[in-house]
Amino acid sequence: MAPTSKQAKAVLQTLGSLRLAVIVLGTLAVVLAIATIIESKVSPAAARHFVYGSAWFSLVLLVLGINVAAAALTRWPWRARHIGFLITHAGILVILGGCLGTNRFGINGRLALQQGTQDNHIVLDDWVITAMTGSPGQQRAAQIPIGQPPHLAAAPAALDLPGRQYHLRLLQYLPDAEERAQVIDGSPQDPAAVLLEIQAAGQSGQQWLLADDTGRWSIRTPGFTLAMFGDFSPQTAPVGKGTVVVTIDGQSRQIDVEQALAAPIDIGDGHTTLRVTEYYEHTRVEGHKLYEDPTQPANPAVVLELASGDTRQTRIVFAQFGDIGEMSAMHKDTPASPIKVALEHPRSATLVALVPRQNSLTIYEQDGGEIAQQIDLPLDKPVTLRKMAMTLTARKFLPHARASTVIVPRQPGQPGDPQPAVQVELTGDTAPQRTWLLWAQPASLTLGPDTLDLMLQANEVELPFAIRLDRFDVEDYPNTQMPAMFRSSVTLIDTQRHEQHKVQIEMNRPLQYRGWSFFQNSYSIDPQHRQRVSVLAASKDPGKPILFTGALLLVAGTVILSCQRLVPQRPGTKRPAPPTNGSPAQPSPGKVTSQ
Amino acid sequence: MNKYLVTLLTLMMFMPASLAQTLPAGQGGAPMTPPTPAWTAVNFMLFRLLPVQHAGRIMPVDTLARQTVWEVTGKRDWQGLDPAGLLLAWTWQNDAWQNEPIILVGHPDLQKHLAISADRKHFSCAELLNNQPLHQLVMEAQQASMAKAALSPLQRSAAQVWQRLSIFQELGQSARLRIVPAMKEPNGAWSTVADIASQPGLPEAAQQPIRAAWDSMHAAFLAGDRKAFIAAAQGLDKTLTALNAVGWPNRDTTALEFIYNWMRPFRAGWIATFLALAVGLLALAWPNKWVRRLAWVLLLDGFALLTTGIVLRWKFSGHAPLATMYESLVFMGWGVTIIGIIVMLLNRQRIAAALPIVAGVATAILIVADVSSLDSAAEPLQPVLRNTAWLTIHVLTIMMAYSAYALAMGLGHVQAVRLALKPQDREPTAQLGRLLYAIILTGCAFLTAGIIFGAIWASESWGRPWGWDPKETWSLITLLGYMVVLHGRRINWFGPFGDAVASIVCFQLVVMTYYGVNFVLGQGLHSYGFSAGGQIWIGLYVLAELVFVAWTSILRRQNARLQPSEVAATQE
Repeated sequence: MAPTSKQAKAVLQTLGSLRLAVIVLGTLAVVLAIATIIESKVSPAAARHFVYGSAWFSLVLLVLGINVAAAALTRWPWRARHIGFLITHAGILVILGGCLGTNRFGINGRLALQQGTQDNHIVLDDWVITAMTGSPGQQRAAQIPIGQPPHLAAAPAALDLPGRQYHLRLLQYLPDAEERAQVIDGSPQDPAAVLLEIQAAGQSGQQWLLADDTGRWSIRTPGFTLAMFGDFSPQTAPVGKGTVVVTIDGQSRQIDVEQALAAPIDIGDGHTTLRVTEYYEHTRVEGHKLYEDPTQPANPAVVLELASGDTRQTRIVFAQFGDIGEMSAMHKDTPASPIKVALEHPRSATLVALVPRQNSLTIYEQDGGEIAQQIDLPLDKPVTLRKMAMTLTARKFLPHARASTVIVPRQPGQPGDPQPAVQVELTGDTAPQRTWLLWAQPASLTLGPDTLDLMLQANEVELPFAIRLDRFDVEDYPNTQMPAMFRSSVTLIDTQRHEQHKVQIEMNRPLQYRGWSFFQNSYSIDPQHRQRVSVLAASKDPGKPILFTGALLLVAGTVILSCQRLVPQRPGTKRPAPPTNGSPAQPSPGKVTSQ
Repeated sequence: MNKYLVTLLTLMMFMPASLAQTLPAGQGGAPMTPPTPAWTAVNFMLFRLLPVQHAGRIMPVDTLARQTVWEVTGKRDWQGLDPAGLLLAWTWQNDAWQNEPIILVGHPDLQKHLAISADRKHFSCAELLNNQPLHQLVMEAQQASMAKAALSPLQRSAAQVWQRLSIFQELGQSARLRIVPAMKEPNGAWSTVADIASQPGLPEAAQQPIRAAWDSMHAAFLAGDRKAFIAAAQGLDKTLTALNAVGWPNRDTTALEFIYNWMRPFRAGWIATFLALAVGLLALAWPNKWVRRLAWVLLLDGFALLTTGIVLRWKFSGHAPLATMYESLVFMGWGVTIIGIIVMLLNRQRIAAALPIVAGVATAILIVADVSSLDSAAEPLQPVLRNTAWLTIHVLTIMMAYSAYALAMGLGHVQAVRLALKPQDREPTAQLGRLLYAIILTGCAFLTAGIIFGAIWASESWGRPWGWDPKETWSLITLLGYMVVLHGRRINWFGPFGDAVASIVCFQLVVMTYYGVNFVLGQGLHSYGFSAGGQIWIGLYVLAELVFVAWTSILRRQNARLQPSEVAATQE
């Protein structure tokens, strides 16, 4: 025999040795035990990521496979007494091969269906980032798989779009995030901002004010405004009769009282008009009637009429109290009106204006058109307002600021489903750009000439057919609350093959169609029984036949092997000594040995 | 087999059964204080055979009566009174029983907390219903379970006491004896005689005779009229049978359950195996052909009883008795006996120590099943276990594997002690070693098949053959552990003593898979059929085994030092 062949044989002997077998089996057992502890103490996802799905675990299985294969090869030439051994070990090899096939080509996902709806998208456990670019009609899309949460792939992945290549890198992952607005330093053309600490009625809170902002960065309630102005000149006399603010579905519209007194004004929903029928500046209320009484302090109010077709509503609105509802008793049974009205009037309003003056702030407090106070607001010095029981402290001042949103972890224990988010960095020819992607919310990034729309979502597979959930039932054992069966009655709709079937999916009774299997997995029924959602597990596993062939071989082999070993050998049967691969352990004559 | 042996076997079969009847079910309760009720004169036999719907299935009244007595008093036997009689007494004379101490509390801390007597375990409804601390605890327990928080031991026992109370109250409202069958659907809900009018499809004309029969039974019961009660029960039975309801069961099945209840085959089984153990040990000390044969007969008797019990339970529950921990433990005891018997018959050397080991291991497992607080009631299957033959195939195979491993564990103890005491004693230990190997190999064949059957079932039920569920993983770890032993043995890595110790150590993997996954890891999909508890006992068992292994190892080392040459010879 040539020396290389001898060496090869020695290597094979070592690879197929019982010693290696014992070591690999023992290692595998210990590793798996640790994995179950990780699963219990950390999370199933961690066990999957760090052990079951990891490369080194595959390596251990590979070594096991090599050991099994080599052990079988070293027994060559095979004899009848090897049958059990060979079938068993072949079974293990086939199962390992089948696992490889399942891992490579198998698909496992879920199909959540609300009663009465249909879908043909299987949602998988792993996530992708979808990138879209191009003008409408000429859009190109690409998907980057980023693995399963919480162990998302951090390595840069190439994003190929026609003509250009980008690299996308995951920077951060938040399992439950929310968008929060904040004020940050801006460029020289940006307005000033101040962070105010407001103490009122024993409560205190912080609020950013951005100059000339009328939205989130100012405080505006009926009768009270606290805002910052870039440029401000105090007005001493009240102007006009104020405005009525009409709000429908969150959309506001301002209507001048003077105009509405003159003629009905369309409020913008297409069919309703508003007319101010009465106007009071110093309102006195007696019984259900309003009177003008100049001896009273300023208390503006209007009576207005909302007309839509034949229906008319009369409402009284005070500037200081807001909408006190419908006045007419005729409309008591009508549901709460979607239209909200408020009166803004300079006579009743308190305005606190903060005005920047070269690195410092001035407060103008104006009440009913008269200036009540004008003082400086230095940093960290509390200033108490005169008309309002309120103390203001400036905590931070930015001469140039702008509003921006940040993604932050959501406080635990808040209602609603968790909303994951990832921060990604896109690198192209130009400087890298970063952005946060909230679950299923598109975000745009501009890199050089391209604008990319990115979105974080679950990977999905589209089925060539759809499934509709007709009914979902939980059947209880009679007279008990013990569930006896969960049942989804579905209709399978295959437009390609013009087939339609009504099927019932129960526990242990899956639906099988075109290589896919659907199993009853879980369900949710809301307490009012209005919405029933059935979750079906969907899988497609081309490795399954291989797996089951291997399983069959393994079971058959084990049985044959056991019988060969257990049934006493006839005395006098001469058997050659087993290959001992240099092990000192010569079996003693009394021991059960075959092979 | 000769005639005498058959007769003897038949006798032996029933002897433990009758023993099982007389064996006290626990320590005796308080002495019977109330005057003997009139109904003790009544024979409830016919009534006990009547079908009733309870806990989601149809059972004879006998089972319901026994379960109710057990659920209320925590005892199988309440002062020697007929359970069916008690069931009716608690229904019809509920007020009179309100002041009887029948509700088990039996938790010293709880009794202290409730400020009730520490001298007894049973209290009356009247005593408990007005107990403010109990109300408080029950309310806390309800709030905690609504919030899915863990209950404190005190809260848990208070909730249990409340459960017992509510069962008793339910009886008082005649809401437990659902004997009127479903008329429309085979699996429909049955009703009680009190709300017979709510049974759909039962005509008014048919309701009247049922009410009449029930009322005459009531009257006969109160009067203690034996003859009238039998006649009334017979009348009720006939009237109900004559309804020809679609939900009416096969009466043979309910009769089988009645026989099962009377026989207590699993208790009778362990009594037989226990006797086999005793006689088998006697045969070791006094090697006599007849003593040996007697031990064999007793073991076969135990096996026959267990088989009968399993078959009966399978028949009346409608599914293989492998769905709860109690059922699987009993099956494991059965597996130990059958594997032991087959292995002993195949084995040429006729090892005398084998029989007591088989009998001992089986007895130990069956006693654990019988004496522990495991729920022995036959329950309807959970949805995931229904519609499939794989429950039977998968669990049966797995339990056979565990049986073989348990047997190997028992053998391992004897072998380890022998080798520790006499390291030079080669030939008998080699025989036992071969037996050990054969049994482990059997176990591995079963476990391999069981895991694979499980994978096939999982792929049909959960959509994937293997998902690294903790139970799946631990069954694989167990198999790998035994594979290490089997492969290591071929290169003599561990030696005979090592093999013996390994069979004990590896059995701890079985304990982990069978029990620990649910309680130690508390994860995974295999969460049905398990009731909490027993952690301390299982923990003590594992600790004891560790101590045993350490002790035999030290002993062996000491003995080896005394005989260095011989130890060297065994280790070659």
